[in-house]
Amino acid sequence: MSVLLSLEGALGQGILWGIMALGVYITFRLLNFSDLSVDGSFATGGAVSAVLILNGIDPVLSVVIALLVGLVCGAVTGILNTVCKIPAILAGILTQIGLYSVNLMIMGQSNLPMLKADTMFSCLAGAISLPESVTSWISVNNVVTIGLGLLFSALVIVLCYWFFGTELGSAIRATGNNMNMVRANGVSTNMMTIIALMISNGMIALSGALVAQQQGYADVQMGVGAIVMALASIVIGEVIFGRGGGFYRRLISIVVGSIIYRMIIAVVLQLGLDSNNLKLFTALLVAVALTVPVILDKHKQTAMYKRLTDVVDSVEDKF
Amino acid sequence: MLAIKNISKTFNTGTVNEKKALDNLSLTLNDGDFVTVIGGNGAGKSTLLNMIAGVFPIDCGHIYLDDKDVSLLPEHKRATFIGRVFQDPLMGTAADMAIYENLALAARRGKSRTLAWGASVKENAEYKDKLAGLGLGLEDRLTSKVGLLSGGQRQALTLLMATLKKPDLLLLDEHTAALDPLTAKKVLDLTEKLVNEHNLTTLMITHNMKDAIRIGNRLIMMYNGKIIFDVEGEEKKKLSVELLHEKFRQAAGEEFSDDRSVLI
Repeated sequence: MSVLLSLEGALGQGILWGIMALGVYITFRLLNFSDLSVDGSFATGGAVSAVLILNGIDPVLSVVIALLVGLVCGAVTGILNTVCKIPAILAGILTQIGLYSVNLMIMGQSNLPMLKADTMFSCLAGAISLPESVTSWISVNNVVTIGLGLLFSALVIVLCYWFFGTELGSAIRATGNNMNMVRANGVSTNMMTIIALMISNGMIALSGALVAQQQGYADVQMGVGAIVMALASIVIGEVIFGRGGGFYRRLISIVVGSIIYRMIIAVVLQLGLDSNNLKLFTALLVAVALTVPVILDKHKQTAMYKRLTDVVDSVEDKF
Repeated sequence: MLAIKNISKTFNTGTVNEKKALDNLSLTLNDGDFVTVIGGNGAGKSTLLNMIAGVFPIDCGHIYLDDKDVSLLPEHKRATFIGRVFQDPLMGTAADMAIYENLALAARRGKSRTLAWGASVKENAEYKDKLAGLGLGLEDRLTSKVGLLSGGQRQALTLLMATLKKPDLLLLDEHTAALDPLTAKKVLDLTEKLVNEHNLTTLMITHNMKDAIRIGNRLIMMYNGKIIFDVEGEEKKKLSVELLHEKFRQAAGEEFSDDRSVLI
């Protein structure tokens, strides 16, 4: 029973964190830009939302404002990279480090509980009542988390699908492919980089706001390791669904990857993994998930060579 | 019309590697001129094209396109007027995007990118027509990713992209150098066809002296960042590879003995 409960929790968490992974996908795969500001902007989203809610702002509005602040975070990384010519990784790290202090300034303390305030999740959980036949299987809180998570991630996926089909979105995708070509066709690659980073960090902050509301507090540490979790989600999604297929499939595979990642974590914790070792476990998981396709490819290649060479050898005389 | 006045470019200024790539160079192209550019490695041919396209800033001088001073415009803004094909077939296209998406990006060269759809169904019919004109069978592969095409196909596609929206100036930087002789000829024939069709003002770098003589109405030869020979019309038609060598020797003087090998 406790395994089932933790899996239900993992499902909801996976969907909420999946939005963050979608944001990372935009920079990591579409723009081909290793953005490390994620850890900072995720916590910023949570911090902004928590402070606003504690000040009586509507929880939904607080999510929108968190998203807008996330856009600004992305713009900072983008400007550092394109205008100040700071290499991508360093630009992201600078934003991330700076945001740590900014987040503390926003919250005024390192942990901000919202236990007495109304969040989207607590409001909704209070408003609906489920028959006992359902609640014996899944708690109201989990139902609300999964429901709201699906709503927001569906919204983000549909908007992404639309946006990256537009002229602007196409230009961003091309920027990730070939900057020379994009400039030769009259588009500023600097502008495209900044816009993509803004959208990505906006989505990440949105995810941070949702996670903070769901868990009932914002913490200055809540984004630590977010980039690795995002990569784990993207890579797990790719291993399961493959890197091909349509754009919808790619986007959905990331959220599914995020859910699977959370479930793996939930299971290994249930099995008795010390939570202090979680980060190491995640690092190993990503490394393995990235290695498996390489080994499979190599294996396939060798198998094909053997098969075809056997055929050739059986027909002709050997040297 | 392109007018270049007294432009210079020095790389690695103040170091032992200092290289004067362009030395107080001036050049005027009339509308419809098809100019071939020849010269040894390091003569400044590619630098000249890159300066016109705005890849690097010029040290001094002026570049006018249709009487607009574009000397200080960034590369992507100059792209409004200029179509380009690079030496490397990989450089002109986005590999992970479909053929029609690449064409749609090129069709909007110089326009600001909006939230309208990146490629409309109506456009695709037009692209199909134009791709059929290449004679490479690409018209049936509109949704294929460009990364799946061969170097020659990609170069032909880049050429089509560069001329899709009629440019005021077409810059071809040894665009057939990386292709096999047969494919190179195909792409070169295609270049002539497209340039003639749209009456494009064109600058084409080539290392093939015969092509340089055969194609276009004007030929310039560069050496050490300067134009050392400029010939057009009837006089150009009378050129021979031997004559070009002779001209080069006269202009470059004694130094020629070192560079003869790279010019053939």
